[in-house]
Amino acid sequence: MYRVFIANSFSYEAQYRADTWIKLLTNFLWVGMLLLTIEIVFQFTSGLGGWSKEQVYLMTVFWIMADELFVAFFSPGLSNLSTTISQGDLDVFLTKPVSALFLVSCKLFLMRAFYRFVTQLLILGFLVYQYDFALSWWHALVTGALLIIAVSVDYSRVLIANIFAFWFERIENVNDAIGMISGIGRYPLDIFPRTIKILTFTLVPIAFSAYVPTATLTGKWPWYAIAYAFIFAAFLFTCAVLFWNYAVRRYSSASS
Amino acid sequence: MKKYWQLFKTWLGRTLIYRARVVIWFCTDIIQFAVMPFIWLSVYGSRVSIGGYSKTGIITYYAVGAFISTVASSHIASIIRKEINQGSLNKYLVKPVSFLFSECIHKFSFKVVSTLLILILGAGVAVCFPSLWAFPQSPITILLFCLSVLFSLAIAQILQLIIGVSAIWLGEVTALSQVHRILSSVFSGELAPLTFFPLFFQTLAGALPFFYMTYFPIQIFLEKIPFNQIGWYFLGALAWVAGLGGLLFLMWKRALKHYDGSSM
Repeated sequence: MYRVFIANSFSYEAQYRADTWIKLLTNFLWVGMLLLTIEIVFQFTSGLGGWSKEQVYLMTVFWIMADELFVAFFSPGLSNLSTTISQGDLDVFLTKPVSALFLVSCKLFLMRAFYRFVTQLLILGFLVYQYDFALSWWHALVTGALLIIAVSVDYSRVLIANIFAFWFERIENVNDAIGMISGIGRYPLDIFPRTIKILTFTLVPIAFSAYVPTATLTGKWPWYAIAYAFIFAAFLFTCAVLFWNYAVRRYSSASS
Repeated sequence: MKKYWQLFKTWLGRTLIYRARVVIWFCTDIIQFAVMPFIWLSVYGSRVSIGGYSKTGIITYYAVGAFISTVASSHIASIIRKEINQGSLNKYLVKPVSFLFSECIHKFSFKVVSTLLILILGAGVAVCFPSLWAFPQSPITILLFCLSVLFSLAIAQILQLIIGVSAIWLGEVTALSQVHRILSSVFSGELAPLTFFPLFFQTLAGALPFFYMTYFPIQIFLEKIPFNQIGWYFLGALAWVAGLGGLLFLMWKRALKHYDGSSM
């Protein structure tokens, strides 16, 4: 079934080739803006919260990669969830003989986000080649796994936020807010006060997209902290699914 | 004007029904500005000033930026695109109201609530942490600041309307909106004070309308523009409002001829 979804998504984007190319070019502008921010900050300092410029670059690239993977696989479906709920369109998903959550989350695959992920992979390769991060194969492998963990945390976070539409109805702009909050995660979190830093690992889990993979890859994180990331991701995913099941029970199908 | 007042009241009522949306947009508009001071405070270390900004100055810079973003920013292009693509523009064209003006009223009704929120939040922070802020010395500065925010609102609104109306020809304007968002972030001084950028960048920023959207009002608030030059800057802002307003007027006239009322 997922193969059919991907084929449909590919054919959809093939219809709007010009738009896809424009959005890809726009993405380069956006990445340029992120890198420009780092350059502007580092013209006044050699380290930010104990992180060098190269490490902050790495952090930004990881953040973009996790974001693009999430956008490619889940965002097109999840970002419409609150509208689907408030307009009473969830019935279509609930009446099919497949998990409604799977359909809602995976029915669309955004090909261009995957292209962008590949571009970021090349930039990551360049950064690793250009700067001496003293990487080990073990750290590289764990970092790859942590990138998947980051996508899982992103998914759970966005799902939980959108599920609130069952109660608050028109809150589709919650995805814009999540995008902005998630953006904080691309900076070294050590610059924030301790309370905010703790929040980014717990209630507002934005540390897993960039900080955790970069800290692991550069050997700044001990094994128990890595284990925490895996356990937390599993916990949050379970909470998200349970919350979905609870919320669906109160769905009345009436639109607003 | 009575019909627009009635529209305003209706939209305001609707805004108050969906309070969660207002709070979410409010947070979205100020988050970026809330993060940047932490970055710069980390850079300052033991230094007193960077690029002409003290620690208090840089915090005030982003706090005023957050205020302007809440009061003057606009996200109206996506709404107009939707109205055009779904054919719901038709219903406006047969009514005795201007579509573009109605959309502005729609936005203003939301701004009334979000402005109240930011004023309450700002007052709370100012009372609790008075040493973090650099307030203007003269009441004239406050008046000039308010005027500059009105120009900022006008430019932001007209740019969004132009992007939205472009949907009549382009169909999809998300990419255009993204380009606008990126250029605005960089050239309006949202990321960092423009004096932190290379000189050619500052010159380029000064020649673009984005300059008047955030940087110019903040500079007035921080009293960094000499009093005898402020008039010239306001003339520049007025020229952009007139130029972009004229462009919007022409685009709208042509758009109405081009629009066939069918949805996508």
